[in-house]
Amino acid sequence: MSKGYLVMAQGEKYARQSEHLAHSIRNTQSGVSRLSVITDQDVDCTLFDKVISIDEDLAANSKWKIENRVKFYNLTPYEETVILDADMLFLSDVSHWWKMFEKYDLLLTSKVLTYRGMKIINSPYRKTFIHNQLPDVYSAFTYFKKSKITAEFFELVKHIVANWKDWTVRYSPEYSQKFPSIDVAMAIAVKILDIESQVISKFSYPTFTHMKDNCQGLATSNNKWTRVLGAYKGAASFKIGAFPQTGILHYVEKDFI
Amino acid sequence: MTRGFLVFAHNNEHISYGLLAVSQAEQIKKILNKPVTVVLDQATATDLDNLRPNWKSCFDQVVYLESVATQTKRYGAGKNQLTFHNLDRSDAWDITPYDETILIDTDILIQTENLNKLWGTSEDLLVCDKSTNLYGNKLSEFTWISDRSIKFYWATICYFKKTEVTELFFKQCKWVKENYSWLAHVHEIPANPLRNDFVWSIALHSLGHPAATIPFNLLYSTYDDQLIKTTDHYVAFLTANGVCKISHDVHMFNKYDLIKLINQELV
Repeated sequence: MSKGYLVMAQGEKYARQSEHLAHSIRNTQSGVSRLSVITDQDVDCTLFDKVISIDEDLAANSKWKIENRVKFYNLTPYEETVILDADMLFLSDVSHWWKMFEKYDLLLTSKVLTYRGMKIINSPYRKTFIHNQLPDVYSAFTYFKKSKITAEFFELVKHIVANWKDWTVRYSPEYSQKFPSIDVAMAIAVKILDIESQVISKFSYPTFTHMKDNCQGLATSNNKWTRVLGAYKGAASFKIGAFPQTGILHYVEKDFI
Repeated sequence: MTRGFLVFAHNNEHISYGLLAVSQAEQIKKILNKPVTVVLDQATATDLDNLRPNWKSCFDQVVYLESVATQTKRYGAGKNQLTFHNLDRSDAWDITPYDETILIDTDILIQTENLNKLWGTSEDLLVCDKSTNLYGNKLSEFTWISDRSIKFYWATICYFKKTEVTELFFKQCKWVKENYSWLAHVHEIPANPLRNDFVWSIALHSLGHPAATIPFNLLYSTYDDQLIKTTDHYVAFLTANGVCKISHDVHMFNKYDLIKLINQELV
């Protein structure tokens, strides 16, 4: 079974981020370390297993450019895939996670951490999920293997994104997002297919450190975490503030790199 | 395997920490039936000679340690700026005569047998991270040492065995103490006065948390809570929300009330 990571990088900024992501995977992973990129940009091909072009741009008129993410299932070159966000870095080896992934057809991240290692609960960014009883899932790290159920799942996600207003009126009327969100679309698909117990891990991983500013449990809101927290790279460790970081960092702020 | 309590008592201009230590040792003997070693300076001992001539009988051992440096801190809502001798707490590992020690502040009113549950734990070091006010509310200032920094631990109560791990911890506390002004800058905390809770927290963080936590809550009364009565079953405070009766060990921020209570008992 071929295994690898897959990232969408539409636009110059995300293309550069995906290259940093590729470096970090190469530098840290002892097991699965192949990364393919779906992009509309020129990228350093030596960093990627495969460079896949976006043929039909579903996000041509979209500000957030997330509509093409519904293509992951069809475009992946792997039988087992983990899809990632481009603004992530691997800071330590998570190869052992793949052993656990084998038990699943589809596995979504539902537990994310602050830079202090605390589980993020009641995030202000998650009102849509909380108020509409949607599963609290994060698409930024999603495992799937090619199977009937995942094909059905991604087909449904594609349909939800294409018909966003119709679906959100029904499944997320409270704090409804005006523009399509893959996190919300996946949550609605999980709810409709009634597969929550099959696609969310009971263990502490997969997980990542999610650097959205208002999730960090700070008394003051700073809009960007990079304004108030230092990031320090040593010979063998990387710290944010006083906290050594491991696992996967979803740094969010583009000025971090 | 010897077990006992260790307390530090250095008087300042207003507060007789020696007297607090004597009163607490009597409570420990009565409720917990464990020996207490006190660490104090000559001036505090002389003061106790006048106030309680038989004070030494309350303690298992008396260790004299002159306070080498002093600092000041405000007691209460900015009312009194007094000297504060708290810099020798990191010496606890070297001083304690016991194999298992509970290091405790003299301003903790012992009312339960809870602390006896800590003896014989498989852990080398137990530190306190759970605390609420008298009404069960947790404050963020006792969750993180500053808004963006590390987890807060109380130095007020701590259990330790004499092992290599705890020796390392106390050595690290001394290192934090020596580099406190820089670390205060790093962790965005006041550089003065040195606070043992912060020393504990930084040492634990820098060693990767080589400790378990005490499994029960540390209840504290603030400077605004007025101690009005103690019995064998409870202690009563007059608070902003009315009278509050507590049947629990209480960390008393308001030392003045505690001293007043002890003096009344002496009369």
